[in-house]
Amino acid sequence: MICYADSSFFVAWFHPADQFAIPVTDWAREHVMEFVWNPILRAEVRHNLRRLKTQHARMAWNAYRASEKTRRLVIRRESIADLLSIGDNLSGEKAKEISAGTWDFVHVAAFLESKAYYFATLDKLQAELASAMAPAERVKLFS
Amino acid sequence: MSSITTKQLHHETSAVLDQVERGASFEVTRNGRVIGRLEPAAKAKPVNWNEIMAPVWEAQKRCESKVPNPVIEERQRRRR
Repeated sequence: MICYADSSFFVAWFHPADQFAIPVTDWAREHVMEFVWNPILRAEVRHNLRRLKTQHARMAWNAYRASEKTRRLVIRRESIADLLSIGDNLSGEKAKEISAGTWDFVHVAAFLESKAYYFATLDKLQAELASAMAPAERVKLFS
Repeated sequence: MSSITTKQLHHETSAVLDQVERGASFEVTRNGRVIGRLEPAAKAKPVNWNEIMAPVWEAQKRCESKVPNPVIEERQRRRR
């Protein structure tokens, strides 16, 4: 299945010392064939991997870079302006009901637009928003 | 799959790459020995996640002390 994973998920996927590394890995190995990748996810993941200070930080960065070099993670033809615009549209629809932040709306809107089957995150508010927009079995929250 | 010598490739690079773009694949030979392949990007065998992530998954098993997820930590700070 194709999965739109939030940056919190990707950091846990690449960083072996992350508190969610094992459940995220176990679930992804069973359910995910391919991840959606876009410029916003890329910037967030790179920034957060750079901030890691454990002895596994370099390994996490190398695994992420290998994923791009081998084209397991490929940015589709999405512009940042388009991603922000669809996030804004979703905000117009749900901002009063769900207290998720701007970027949460952008990611959930990008998930819906991507036609990925799963949305995976470690963020409760994001999962709440995704669950309001897609069937519960397609939203995976690690908490 | 056709074969092509390094000399032919040198002299006809553009024409060969045009054919690759249209879906053709070539084995490149030097002194009669195959030294490489030219094939369309879409045909390249995809590397699977197991190959990329094997060191990470090994390290997960050995790693006893876990750290909080920095993305969630930052979001919680911002939302307070």
